[in-house]
Amino acid sequence: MTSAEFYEYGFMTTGGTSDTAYFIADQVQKGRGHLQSPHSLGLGANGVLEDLVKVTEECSSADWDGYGAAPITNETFWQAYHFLRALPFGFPIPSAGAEPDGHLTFEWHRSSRRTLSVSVSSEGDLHYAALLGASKAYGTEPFSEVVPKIILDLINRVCSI
Amino acid sequence: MLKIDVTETFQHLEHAPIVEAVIEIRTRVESPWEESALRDQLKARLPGYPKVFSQNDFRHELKVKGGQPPEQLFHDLGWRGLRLQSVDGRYIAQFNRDGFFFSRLHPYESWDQFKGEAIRLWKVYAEFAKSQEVQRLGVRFINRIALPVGEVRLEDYLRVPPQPPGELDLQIMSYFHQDSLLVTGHPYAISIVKTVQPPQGSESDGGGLILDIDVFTTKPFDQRADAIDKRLAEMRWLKNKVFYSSLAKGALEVLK
Repeated sequence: MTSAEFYEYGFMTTGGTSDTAYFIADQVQKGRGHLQSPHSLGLGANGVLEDLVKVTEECSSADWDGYGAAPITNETFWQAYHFLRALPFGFPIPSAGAEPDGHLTFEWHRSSRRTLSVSVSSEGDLHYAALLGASKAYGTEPFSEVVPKIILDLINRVCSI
Repeated sequence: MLKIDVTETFQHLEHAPIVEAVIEIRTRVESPWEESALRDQLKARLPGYPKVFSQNDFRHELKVKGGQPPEQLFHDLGWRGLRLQSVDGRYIAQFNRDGFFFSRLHPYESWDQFKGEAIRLWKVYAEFAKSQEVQRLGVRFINRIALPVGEVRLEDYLRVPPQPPGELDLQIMSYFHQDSLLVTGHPYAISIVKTVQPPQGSESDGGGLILDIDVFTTKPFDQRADAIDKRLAEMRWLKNKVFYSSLAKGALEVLK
C-alpha cells in the first residue's frame, strides 16, 4: 500500500447504530483528536480554522463583495470544516478564502506556477484547479468523509520540494 | 494477489459475539428526494417496518472562549432521510439522501437472512432513489466478547495481543488498535479496530473485548444486482477470514 492509499482509506467507516458502534466511534475520535493536538501534525499551526470561521462570518451576507456575491452558508462552512479535518496528519495546511459563488476555498500556494485551489460547495462538491509548471489539472470530486486521492496527490505535487 | 474463495466454509459459532451487522450502500440519489413521497412508498411496501423516524443532518460545535464555560451549538442542516425499525427493533434501515444503510442488532441470525433482508430493502431504495452507481459498499461486523471480572489476559483472546515496549514491566491500562488494510488485487479495503470497553457499572460486568471488522469497496461500480451480490460474497469471506485469524484458539472454543 502506498502512503497515499493509506491516507485515502484509513479513516472511512461503514456506519453503525449499536451502543458498541458509538463507543468505537468515540474512541476513534479521541485518537484522532489526540494526534491532531500537536502543531506538527494538526490544524493549529497556521490558524486556518480561525481563518475559516472569520471568512465565513465576514461573507455570510449576500453581496459581501459589493458585486452581488452569494453568501457563505452554514452548510458550506461545515463541508469545508470537515474537508479540513479530513486532511491526513502532517499534510501541508492551506489558507482559506471565499468566492463570489458562495463557495469556500482552500489554497496551497508555493509559487505563481505551483498552486492548487480547492473550492467547497454546500453540497460537498470539491472543485479543484492546479497549476504545476506548464501543466494544469482541474475537475470536480464529491467529498464524503475522506479527501479524494487525486486532491491529495495534487497537494503533494504542489508542495513537494 | 490475495485469493478469495467464497466457497470456503467456516466453523459455526453457537455463541457468535456479533452485536451489530451492517450493510451500507452509498450512492447518489438521482430522483427528487421528498419526505412525503418516500414515506408513502415505504409505508405501502415495507409493512414489517412500522416505526419510521425522520432524520435531519446535524452538526455539533463546541465554542470555547477563555474564562467562559464552553457553549454547545447544534446546526440543523435539513432533512436527510428516513430511519425505519422492524417490529422487534432488531432490524434498522436508513433511506438517506447519500445512501442506504441496513443493520441487524444482537442476536444475529445468519448471513443469508441478514443479506436477504438487506437486499430486499435496498431494491426499494434503489427504485425510489433512481441511483445508477454504488460509490461505496460496506460490510461491517462489530463483535463484543464479554470479559470476566478481575484480571484479564488479552493473549487468551487475541492472536496478536498488545505488548508493552521492550522488557519493561508495565501494565496495559487501556487498549485501542486500528489497522487499515488494502486487499491486493481486489477493489476492497478493511478497517479493523480492536479495543477494550471498560465495565459498564454492574459488578458482574468485566467489560468487553471489541473486534470491529469493516470491509469496504475502494472503487465505485455499476449498481447491478449481480455486481452487488458478487462483492457481498467476497466481502463476507474477507470479514470471516479476519475474524477467525484475529481471535486466539481458546476464545474461539468458548464461542462454539
